[in-house]
Amino acid sequence: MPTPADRSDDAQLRADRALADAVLAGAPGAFEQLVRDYQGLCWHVIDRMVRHPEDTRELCQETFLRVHRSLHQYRGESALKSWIAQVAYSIAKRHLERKRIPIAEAADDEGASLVERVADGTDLEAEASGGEAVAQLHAVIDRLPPMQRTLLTLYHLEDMPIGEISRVTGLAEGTIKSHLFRSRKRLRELLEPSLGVAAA
Amino acid sequence: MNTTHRYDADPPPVDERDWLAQERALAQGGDPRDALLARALRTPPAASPPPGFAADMARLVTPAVVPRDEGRLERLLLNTLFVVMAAGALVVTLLYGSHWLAALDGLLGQRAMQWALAGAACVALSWALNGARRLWATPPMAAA
Repeated sequence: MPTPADRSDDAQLRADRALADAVLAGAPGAFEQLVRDYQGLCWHVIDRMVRHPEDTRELCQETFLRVHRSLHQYRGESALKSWIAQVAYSIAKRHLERKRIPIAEAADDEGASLVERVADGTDLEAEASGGEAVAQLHAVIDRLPPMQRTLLTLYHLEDMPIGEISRVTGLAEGTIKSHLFRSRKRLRELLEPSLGVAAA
Repeated sequence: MNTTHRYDADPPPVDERDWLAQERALAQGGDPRDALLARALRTPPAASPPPGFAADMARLVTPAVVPRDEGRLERLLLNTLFVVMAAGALVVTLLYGSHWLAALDGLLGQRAMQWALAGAACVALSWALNGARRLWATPPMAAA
């Protein structure tokens, strides 16, 4: 018997298919609607990957042009959100590869170098409460390698399940979990000195 | 497309119990550190699309839309031009073809001439089929 979540997923898939069909049929305003619905997702994924405002804008444009050109390939078996995220991710990844920017660090160096980078000028202890601490944590997240930043974004900000992230990024589910676990563990460790006393 | 792969930088696997414990801690936020981290992870970064981005994108793909009447007229003119050029080529070939054949025969020899004619016939057939297909093709879809 289908659960309410299944029914909700089905309804979403039907809505996605209808929107894709409308765009393919050239319905007025349909493509603008699609961009409006998914521009936030696209921006988050690409911005977290490339960390350059101008590049983000250009790559988002490229993503939606590619989506427009390839929409006939969308079969409606997965959410349009995943499909567009996959296009955005692959475009951003190719951009980083062209610029020879590593998208993930060697596993052994990951933790140590993160702490070193974060220790450089970031004072979480002074900003331990309220919105400023969140902003500081965002600054720390920005210093993670592109892969880890993007996984955190897809999982926490876009609420994508691990399986869907696996389809978007082409990474194994275990690898995704491991990246998420290690990144969050390191981020939390950075909060130890600042909030450890207050929490006790 | 959906195949998974490993990077050289793949981290060692995480124990499922550790993973679940971390998930629970972030979800419940009992510890202020977890609560703050969960909040930060769920807060969108400041960067967001500029106002009017969706409208700009829609305008960017609009030139691909060809008004139906304009498309038809353009296609009709193209087809007419195609027919006129084909007829002209046929007339010129009928008038001067024997001279060209004699000249080529002298230049290439009998056997090479036969192969060249066979090749030319293949190219002409392929070209004619493509032309015919274009001639009867339906007008392009507006935006696809």
